[in-house]
Amino acid sequence: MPPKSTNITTEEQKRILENSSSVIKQQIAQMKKCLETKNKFMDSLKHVSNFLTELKTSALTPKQYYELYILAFDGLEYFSDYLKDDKPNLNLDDLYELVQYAGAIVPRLYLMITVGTVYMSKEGAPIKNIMKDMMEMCRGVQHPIRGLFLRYFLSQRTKDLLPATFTDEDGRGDLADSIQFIISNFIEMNKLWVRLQHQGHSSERLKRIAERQELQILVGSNLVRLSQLEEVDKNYYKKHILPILLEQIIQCRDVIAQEYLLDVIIQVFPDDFHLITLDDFFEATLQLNPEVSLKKILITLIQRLIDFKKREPDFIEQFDALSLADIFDKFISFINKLNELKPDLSGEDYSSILETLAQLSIAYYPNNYDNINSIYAYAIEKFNTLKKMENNQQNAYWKSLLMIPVESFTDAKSLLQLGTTYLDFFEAQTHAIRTTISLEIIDKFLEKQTKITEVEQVDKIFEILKTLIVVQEDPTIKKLGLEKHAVMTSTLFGNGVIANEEALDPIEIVLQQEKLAKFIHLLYNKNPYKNFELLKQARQFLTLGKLRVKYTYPTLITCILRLIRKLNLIKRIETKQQKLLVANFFKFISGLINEMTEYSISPPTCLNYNLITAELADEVALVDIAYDFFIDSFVMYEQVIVDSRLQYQSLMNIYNKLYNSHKMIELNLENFDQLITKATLYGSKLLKKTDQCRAVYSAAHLWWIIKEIDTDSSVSSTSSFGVSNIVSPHISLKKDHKRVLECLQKALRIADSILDVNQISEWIN
Amino acid sequence: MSGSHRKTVLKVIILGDSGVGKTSLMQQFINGKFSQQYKATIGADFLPKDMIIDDRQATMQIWDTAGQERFQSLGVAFYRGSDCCVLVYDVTNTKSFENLQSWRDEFLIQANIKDPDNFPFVVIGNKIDVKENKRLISSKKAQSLCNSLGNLPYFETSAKEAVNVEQAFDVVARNALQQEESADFNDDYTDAVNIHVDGDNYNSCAC
Repeated sequence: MPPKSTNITTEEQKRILENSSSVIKQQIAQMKKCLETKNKFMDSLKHVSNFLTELKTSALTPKQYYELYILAFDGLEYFSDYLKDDKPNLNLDDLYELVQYAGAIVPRLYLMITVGTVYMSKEGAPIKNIMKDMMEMCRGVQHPIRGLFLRYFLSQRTKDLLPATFTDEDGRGDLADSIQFIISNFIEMNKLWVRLQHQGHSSERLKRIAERQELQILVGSNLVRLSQLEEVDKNYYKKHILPILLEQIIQCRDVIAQEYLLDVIIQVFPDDFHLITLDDFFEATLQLNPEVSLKKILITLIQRLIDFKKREPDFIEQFDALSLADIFDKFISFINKLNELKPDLSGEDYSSILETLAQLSIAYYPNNYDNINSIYAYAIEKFNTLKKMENNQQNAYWKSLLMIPVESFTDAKSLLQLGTTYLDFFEAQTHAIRTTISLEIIDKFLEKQTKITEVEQVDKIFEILKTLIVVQEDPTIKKLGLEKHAVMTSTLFGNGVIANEEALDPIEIVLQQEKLAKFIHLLYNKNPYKNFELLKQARQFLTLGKLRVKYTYPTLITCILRLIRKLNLIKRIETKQQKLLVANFFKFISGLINEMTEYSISPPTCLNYNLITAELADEVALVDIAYDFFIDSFVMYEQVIVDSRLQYQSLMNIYNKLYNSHKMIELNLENFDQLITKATLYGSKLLKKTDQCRAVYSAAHLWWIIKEIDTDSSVSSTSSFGVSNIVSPHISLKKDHKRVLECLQKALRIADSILDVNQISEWIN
Repeated sequence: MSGSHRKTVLKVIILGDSGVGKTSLMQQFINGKFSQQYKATIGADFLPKDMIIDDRQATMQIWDTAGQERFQSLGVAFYRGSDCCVLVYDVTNTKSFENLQSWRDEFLIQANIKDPDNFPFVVIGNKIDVKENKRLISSKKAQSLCNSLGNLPYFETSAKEAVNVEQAFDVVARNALQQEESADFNDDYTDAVNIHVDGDNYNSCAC
């Protein structure tokens, strides 16, 4: 008796393998020599038997045994080629009988299969009987590893010799016999394979599992064989093959076998076979050993169907039309059963099943959003059940479930079609998960610049993006410390809230808000009034961000100003009615700026938006509105701009915009005069003398305004104060010699009062 | 054996990522058939094909293999004694192209090739029947890889439309035959050594 593998070291196994290999090689060489020598056939048989004897070993791992098997297989191939080609007159019937007298059972059966299959290849051979006989004889080896390899050999050797059609010629067997032959072999191999688990000491359980996993391929090869039978169509498969396979798989109760064999069935049989057998398959999966990972099996199946749809997009349409089978519905009713029978399925497994199912639905029914909605309904239900039981639901797998529509829909707009279940499920997640998903969604829209055109869509998407807008209430000490620090900087440098603001938001928040701002540009409808409604709707959400509006409102303002320009360009600000409509746009901007001011967001920025808006209002001849915006600017200038440098800069900005307010001069000179009087006064009240001087000097321009006539459209009306030699034809809008003179004189007086005369003379020039 | 009247057996291994069309290429070459149905290959098995190469009779034993490692659980002992290795990639799948070299390296190690520089490989870019815009690997790129791997013969095929399959396998067969003839020498040599080392006495106890 060969020693039990249990007691053998790896070293010894190696040595045994080397030894056996060289014996086999050498015996094969001798076999070849004998076959070439006359009358040495019986000797060659002896050498064959000798090398086959090496396969009796129990000392090797399956991988090592496979190496011996391959060597022996090559030798037997050579031998059978000889029998086939060089011995035309050999009586195979006799030889088949003869080899049964070989001493040991393993060599005997290998020889028998070799001769038997050569016999089968000959014309007129009693194929069916040989098949039956070989199958019977193989029962003689019950050692799992040896038995599995022997039966694998049987399967390899008979591969091309089994009857391949359903017509039985002279009782020599037909395809049904072949199928039965393969299935019997499969069942026997599966038994051997499962039995291996229960052999040896229980301490070797893990080793057994490893061995079984190495051997699995031998069992699976029978299923491959079945899938290669060309005459078998899907209906035959459904009726006569799959039920037997599933029955065997269920009955063996073995976890490794069940997981592996179902995987193989999914992989080796064609896709359309699976499509018509989903119900049978599901039914079987519910009867498996409870330890079997259903998730693995289901995902393999669904993934296979998804790949199929991608590979053969047209096939499925024909198929669907034929059978009216809704694959998704089948899966859903399976999920229902699953919930009923296995309520304890883990959240992770459940979630990944739903995940692939969502991918399946998107691949097969890209426009069926109900499917996706129902998937998230299932997800919420499970999520809530688990919530009651587990403390920790911050699991990454829920996140990947939420990501599926973002990843799988080709058009970002499809996301807007999803129902409330997605949102509900989204809202149940942690802030971190929601943030990631929100950003991914924005990226998805930005990627192809997908526009959001309807108010309802704005509502829908911003319900999700609210995550980014609303400040997370998280009063950690760290944050408090930061605020304190910010206050200190602001008092030290006296430049208001700017330093404060910059210091507060960590960089990732800033980046998120910038992304959100980019997203606002995607709110677009070619009808400017509708577009305005979209922006108005977005504001309802953005306002929730409180201080964060500083990142988003400027974009809103820019978008609305663009809309007004567009309306002006297409001449839609002509009638009274039209003007009233546009007035709303301005009113809205004013509201935005006010809100920003309330949060003490960078006063120069707010002032600047007021002025830009005033300028545009003047341009579209809504001079009263322009006036209001100038007044707002003035109020802001007086109340919140405290830094002297900023005061000077802001004032220059005010002058610049006033200088260009040509429509107001034409239509409401009174208002204009009021504004420039006030503005000039500001100049004279600046803190530094030098600033005063420059400001008052600049203010002089406000009282002498000329407008170039557009002979050449490329000549833009000048916005710089320093232009003195205008050549193009122009008309004077305002000529107030007296005021100009006053201003210049005042500037001169201030200049005089400053000691450094050299410096001032420069200004006066 | 060299000088024997027996026909030569040429062992050819087809390797490459899952789904590149190894089985389809073999089926097209041996049976002249193509199936639209996709069936994953599990393990490894061969089909024989009788050929006549320059008046010499030979049987090509073409081994089709699983591209997915999990379906190759018993290892790759069948690589041993190969006469030629066909490396297949899918011209629409960049990853399968990038993996060519690791398939080759793995083969050289596992098959225990004694003279790796001179072992015959043939590279096949399959699925050229696809629309031009779906193709991701250009002929030029593939050709330059083959050159850098030692001037390997390169073919672009369509197993689906039977383009270039015959031609590719013709080169496979010729190169395999050449390899077989040079390897035969070595085999004789090792056999001779084995006989001396193990002697006949081992046999007697094994019977």
